[in-house]
Amino acid sequence: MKIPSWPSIGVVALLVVPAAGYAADAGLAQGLSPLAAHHHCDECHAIKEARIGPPFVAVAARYATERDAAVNRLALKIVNGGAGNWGTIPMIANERMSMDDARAIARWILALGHS
Amino acid sequence: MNGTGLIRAHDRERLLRNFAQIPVLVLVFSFAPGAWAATHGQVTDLNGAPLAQAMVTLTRSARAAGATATTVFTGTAGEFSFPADTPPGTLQVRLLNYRQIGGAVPVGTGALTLLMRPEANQAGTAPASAYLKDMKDPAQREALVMTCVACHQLPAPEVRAYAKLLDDTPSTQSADGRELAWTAIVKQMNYVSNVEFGRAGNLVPSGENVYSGGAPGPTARILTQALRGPLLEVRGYGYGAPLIVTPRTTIREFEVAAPNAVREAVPFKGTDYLYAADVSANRLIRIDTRTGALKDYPIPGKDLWGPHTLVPGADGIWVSPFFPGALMRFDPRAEQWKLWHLNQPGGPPVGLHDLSFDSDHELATDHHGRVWFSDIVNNAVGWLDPDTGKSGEFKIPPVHGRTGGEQVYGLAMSPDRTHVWYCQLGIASFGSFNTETLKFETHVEFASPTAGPRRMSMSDDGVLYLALYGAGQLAAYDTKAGRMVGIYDLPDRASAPYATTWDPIRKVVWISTSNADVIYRFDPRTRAIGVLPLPRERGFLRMVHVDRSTGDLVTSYANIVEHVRGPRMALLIDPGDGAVKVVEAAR
Repeated sequence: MKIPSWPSIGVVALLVVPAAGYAADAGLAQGLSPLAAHHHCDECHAIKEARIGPPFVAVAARYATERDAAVNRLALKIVNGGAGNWGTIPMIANERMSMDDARAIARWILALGHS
Repeated sequence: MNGTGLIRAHDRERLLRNFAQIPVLVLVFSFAPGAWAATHGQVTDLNGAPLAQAMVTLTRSARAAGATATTVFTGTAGEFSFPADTPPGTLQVRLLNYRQIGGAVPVGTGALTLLMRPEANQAGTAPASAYLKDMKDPAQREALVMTCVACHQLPAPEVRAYAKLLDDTPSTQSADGRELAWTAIVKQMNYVSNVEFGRAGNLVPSGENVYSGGAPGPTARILTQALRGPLLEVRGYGYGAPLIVTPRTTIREFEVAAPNAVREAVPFKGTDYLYAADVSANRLIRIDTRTGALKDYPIPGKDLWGPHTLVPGADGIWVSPFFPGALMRFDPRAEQWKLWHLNQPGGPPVGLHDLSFDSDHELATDHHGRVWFSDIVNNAVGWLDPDTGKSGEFKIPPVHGRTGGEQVYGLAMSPDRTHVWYCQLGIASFGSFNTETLKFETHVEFASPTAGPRRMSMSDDGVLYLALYGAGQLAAYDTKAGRMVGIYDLPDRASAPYATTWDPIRKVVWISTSNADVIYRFDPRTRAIGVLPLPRERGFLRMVHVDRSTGDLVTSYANIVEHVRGPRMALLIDPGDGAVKVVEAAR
């Protein structure tokens, strides 16, 4: 079934619906890795455009010279949050994310610099 | 004292006297003479003074059957007692301005004494609304509630954590910096909403639509002013009205395991089952209140509907889905679904919200057998003839000066079944539609356009009760006399009252809240308001239903979005007032 879109989010914020799985699909459709989509990184980041946070390709470019050392640095930032590198707005912590997942996402972000 | 923190009874007084010298006291356990079938005991402060109306919650062990958690309240002597059928588990106590010493404790076979220490910092025991109590400007409070609490409590723990982050970060020490940061978070919320809304259709917001939830600036400015500092503390919050709980009050909570999103829960008469709408999927979930056992009832077919609003009827449970286009009914006895498609060829999608129900909160048809509904997408009232499958609807006339974003929401049927009454959430108005003449008749506006009437109910003598979500008020309108009886401030104006329910047994109104973790009780005879506190944070409530046979209340923690953490549970509440017995005795 094709469901027509709702009039506008501002108008119908009263009925927001949940759904494990569906929200992550949005990230997948935007080219995020499955893990990044699962953790909803797309809420603040996109691959090429600036949203609340910097685009992933910009992150990859900034840390390109650090190679593997950047993996841990980025993973720590993903888990603990941060502020100062990309402007005024701090990045929220993702304390429920494991360091293994954070490292995997960091590797995926850094690999965008090679693609 | 043994290693588990348990002490014998004769040690207790000595321990209390010397408490200041003891760094940590996990729990006091005392064994009283005599055998008790059920877990019972007393809640006291450190001086041994009894604490009344404390919530004592027993969370069952994983292997036990029954409710996920059962809560009782202490009496004037601090005493509490659980029903005999309460499963084994662990105990916790909650009481505003106190904190339990030690964590959850396993129940034993004897009497328990649970100690509380005073704590002025109410973080952890006060609801989210407590953090908004000092907002001076009602219009700003209404705006925040209408914008943010529509989807989650404010400030939820994640919001408070963000406030702490801003408080810690050098670049957000200035008001401008904080406003920029709150603007970002409002954009994020808009994006999340957009994704969630589009999950069955336009899945991925893109381009300009990514953050299309309207200008975030106004909300961000209010958040900047309202949520100052790290929000690690909140003090001085009170319920604002007497608690109505007694030692007989019992709240049973039934969790539906993830992934799920319990939206609404209702009883079905003559059974021990609750039925919960899982809006994240395509199913109803039956909950056996005796065992806690769950059973799924998926809606047949491939279409994603997302059961949303439930209204019990004589012939089953009527279901309005989140995704537009159909109305359905589930027959619990035959365990069968019936679905009616509502979209007309070439017409707009029909987005149901509420269905016509009577003062018993049962589905009510008009004199022609038509079920009526509110269509939030098209701002219309609609009808379905279940026998023929025919349907239609009538657009609500525009309101001068308040056009756009009307959002028809609640619906209720008059006792004589000749009118349906509706309210418009987005423009703070309500009115009636004559189901005989098929004409709109009454129209009433609230003074504040952000008062936010949501779901409503009607008494058996024709008084319409509206929950004003934004304004934190209850409105009573006499539909027979055509006059407003009164608009009553609720004790907590940031409580975000979501729905009213006329209680045909007690002749009172129950008002469920989204932001205050309480249910209010309004007595039309005295205009007194009482408070039924809930034992859990993030009690993002939906509508209350009254079981006519028991007098129990049924409702749900309806945390809706995947990103919103918090309980997803159906609740079965015995208010402990013996109402059914009183009514039966009077007959």
